[in-house]
Amino acid sequence: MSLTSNHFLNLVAEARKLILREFNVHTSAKVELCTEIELAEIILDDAQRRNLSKQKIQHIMQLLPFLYGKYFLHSHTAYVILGRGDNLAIIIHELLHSIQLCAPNREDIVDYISYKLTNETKFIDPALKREWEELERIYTWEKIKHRLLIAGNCEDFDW
Amino acid sequence: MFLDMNNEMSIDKVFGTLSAQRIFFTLAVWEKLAVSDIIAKTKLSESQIHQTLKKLSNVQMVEKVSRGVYALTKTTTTEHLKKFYSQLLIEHVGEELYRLSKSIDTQPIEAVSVQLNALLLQWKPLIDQHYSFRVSSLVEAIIDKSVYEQNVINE
Repeated sequence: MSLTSNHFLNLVAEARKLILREFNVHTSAKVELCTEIELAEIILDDAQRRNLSKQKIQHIMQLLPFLYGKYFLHSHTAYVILGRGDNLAIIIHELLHSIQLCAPNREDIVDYISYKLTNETKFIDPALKREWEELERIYTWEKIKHRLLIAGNCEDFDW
Repeated sequence: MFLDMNNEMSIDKVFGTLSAQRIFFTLAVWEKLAVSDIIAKTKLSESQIHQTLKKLSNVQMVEKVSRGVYALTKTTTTEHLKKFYSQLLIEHVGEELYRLSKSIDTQPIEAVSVQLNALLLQWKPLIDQHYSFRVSSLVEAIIDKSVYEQNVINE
């Protein structure tokens, strides 16, 4: 995929710099700009290779218009959709997945950290905000960031 | 436009029904809709919708903007109600997204997809405005769970 521009490359560089500053971790994940159709093809290929039922594939395809970007663990690559996900907030979000070691509920912690780093409220709903602000009050922001980088349950802070 | 006391009492009566509230919220989010779209989004029957639209039109809360297409009026009362309920609706949709995100690990992934699709069908403009990145994350989680995590175990 060759959809790149200086502006996009600058955004990726800025996102990497922010992650390095906040987490003291350098992310080597690739970040690619793609169209929704190209991202759909990647997911569809993987789904077919893994013998997913037609019904399951159909469910996923219906949701793709609402996807802004996706990080793939197996290829250590984040794809962001041209015109939709090529913004700093989404690039930061996808790169956070690339350094994430905790699971499950992997999206909630990344959504909260994305919101905190970018001030973008579209990452959170009121209940998630209340839940994670309470965790932050109890355990601190530094511990939440640290939680992302350690294997285990993303919401278990008593490790 | 200010409505007289009798009309306000009529509004209370009309707006007190579940079908009127559903149609009002739906039009508040989508601006204007054809009857067939109102049916799809509210899950009310066609006759219920026609009856309720007529009642809402009688109290000047809804107007026909073109053939078979309805919108909320711009009266002061409608604008006040729209503003008042918008915040509640934003919180309600947020709660639904939160519930869905928590159910990903406990519910079959198809069920989560169906519920998310239903939510998007009903409230897409509101979701685009307030929760679009959160929804993208949910879709990421659904893809990971159904394509990548599930089948890694099977391989």
